[in-house]
This record gives sequence, C-alpha cells and structure tokens, in this order.
Amino acid sequence: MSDEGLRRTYQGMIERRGADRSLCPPAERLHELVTQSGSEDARLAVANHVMACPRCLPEFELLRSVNAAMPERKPVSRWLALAASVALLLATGIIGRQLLRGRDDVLREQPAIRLISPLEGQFSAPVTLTWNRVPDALQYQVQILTPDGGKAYQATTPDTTLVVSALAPGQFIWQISAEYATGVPLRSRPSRFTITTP
Amino acid sequence: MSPHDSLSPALEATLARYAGLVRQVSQRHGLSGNDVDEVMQAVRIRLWKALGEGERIAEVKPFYVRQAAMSAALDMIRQRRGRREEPILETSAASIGSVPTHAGPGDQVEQSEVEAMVGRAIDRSPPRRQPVVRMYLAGYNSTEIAGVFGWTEAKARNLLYRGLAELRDCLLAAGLTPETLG
Repeated sequence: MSDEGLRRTYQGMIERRGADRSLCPPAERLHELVTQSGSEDARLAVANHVMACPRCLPEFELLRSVNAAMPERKPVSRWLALAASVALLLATGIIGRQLLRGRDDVLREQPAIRLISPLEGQFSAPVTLTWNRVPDALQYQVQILTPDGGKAYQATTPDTTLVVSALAPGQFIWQISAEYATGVPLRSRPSRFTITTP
Repeated sequence: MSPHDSLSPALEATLARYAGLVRQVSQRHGLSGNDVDEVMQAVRIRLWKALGEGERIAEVKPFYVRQAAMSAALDMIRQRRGRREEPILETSAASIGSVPTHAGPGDQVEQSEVEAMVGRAIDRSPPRRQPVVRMYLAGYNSTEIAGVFGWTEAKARNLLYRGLAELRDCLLAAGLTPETLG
C-alpha cells in the first residue's frame, strides 16, 4: 500500500466530497492555524477539518502561503540594535582572546561542530543547511539571523541537515548549537549566506 | 490615478518580490495564481488609501506588506464565503454528479467504497495524529506539517510514521489489499 496510492485515494475523496459550509470553521480560525495562535488542540481540530474540506483547503493554502512567504520581522529600535551590536562585539572579543591565548581548555577539548553548507555565497530558496554530527548531541538548534541580529528562523532537529524554505531574499547569518543532556550547548562558528530573488 | 500609478518603484518591487514568494511557497499545492494577484491588488489599494503618496509610502517595511496581505486574504475569504453561502450547496450537489471520470459504473462504486474505508480508518486514529495524516495525504511533507504546528520536523515525522502505520494496519484488517490502492 504505497504512500502515492493512499494520497491518490485521499485526494480523490476530497475532490468528490460536497462541502456543507455550515460545518466550516470561520476564517479567523484558519488565520489562527497558520499564525500558530490559540491552543494547539483547537488548531489540530481546525486542521483536521481543513484537510478534509475541498472549500477550506484552498483558503488555508492561500493564508499559509501569505504567512510563510516572509518571516515576520518586528521592527527593532535603533538603541536596542546598537546595544545588541555592542554586546555581540564584546562577546566576540572576549571569546577570541580566550581562544588565542589557549586558556580555555574546556573549549579546546570539546568536539568541534562545523558548518558544511552553505558557507558564504548566494543561494535560491529553499536552502539546505548541513553540518557535521558531534558525539552525544541530543539534537541541534538551528538559528538564522538577519545582519542586524534579528531572528529570521529557528528550529530544532535531531538530524544534521535541514531544508529551510521560509526565507525572503536577503543576507543571513546562521549558526548551529548542539544540545546535550548536561544542558551546556556547543556552538558552531557562524557563517553567512545570501538568498537571491528567484 | 490608479493605486498602481502612485506607488513608488521600490514598493512595487517589494510587492512583486513578495507575490513571487507567495507563489513559490504555494506552488506544490496548486494555489490559483489569480488568488495571489487579487490579494496583491488589494494590498496595493490598502497601501495607497492608508499612506497616500510620497515619503510615507516609500518607507513601507516588508513586514507591513505581509500584514496587509494577510488582512486582504482574510477579507477575500470572508467575502467569497458570504457570496457563496446560498448557492454553494446546489453547486456542490451538482458537481458531485458531474465529476468527469473514465471509469465504468462498477469501478466508480468500488473506488467510492475504498475512499470511504480510508476515511473511516483515519477517523478511528488518535485525534492528534488525524490532522497529521490528513495533511500528508493532502500533499504536505513532514517539514511543512511541522511548520504549520510549530513542531520540530522530527516530532511531525514521528506522528506521521505512527499514523500511517496505523492507517495501513486498519485498512489491511478491513480487507483492503495493497493492490487495491496501487
């Protein structure tokens, strides 16, 4: 019983199904589903209806596409951005000095987490992020930031590759943190890449 | 003067790029390009009405465009639902009988029985797995499912794996062979 066969059968069922709109959730519930607001149980119930309703499905897809096409980037105040930049510079300077002087034995003994791809350069969305596996890591946190330090994307995965499609064209910085049972993460060096306009 | 004339070239470029991204996201799921065009036209009008011309319109941020697009899409859905409220049942009933098919009457009956069995088997699965399985069968992959619910991809994959296994077991128990579904 192949996945394709099941999908064909299910999609045929949806196409032939009549839609009694009195059973459909209001448009606001679809909005909550795509923006992940409201309780998860309520969103699961709405999704269960939407995925079986030939009328709600295209409406959901329109809202999902509009929402996913550009990650929400809340405006950051200039002072906050300046403070974040100064803090980042200080932190980079301190860590850099420690590494150069070889004083941090703990850091040197840890296995290195290396970004494999993308390393600089221009790419079109979706972009596939790849890094090396490190022993004993429970999972990896992927962080993609805008050049001004804003969070563009964040996800956690047990794999060492992740396909990210929800990025608008622009410059990004990405970094991986390996998470351990001890609670102390191991971070990769950050790297830059650019998503080009399709 | 139309809204199109009064928007700055930079904002027009932002709108065009955004519309392209919306199409790109929805490409796999067959969203109508006309719907995207309609939403983007509504966004132009909203920006034009709200901000007028000149400096203010040149300062529109991308996230504001997205908010305007989401609001326009919601309004479009509400309006369509309002317009279709009465005739929708008649249209649906008529369209069920007129589905073009190359299969004979016997095949149609068998196909509808198979579809009903699949529907019942999904209905019997645990509530948290039902939408995950339905999304997958509707054409979404585990990454997209995770994105909708704010889960990790591993969690979505796990729920999907269990849900599909249960669905297959249930269909086999009901006497549906792998050959029936192809």
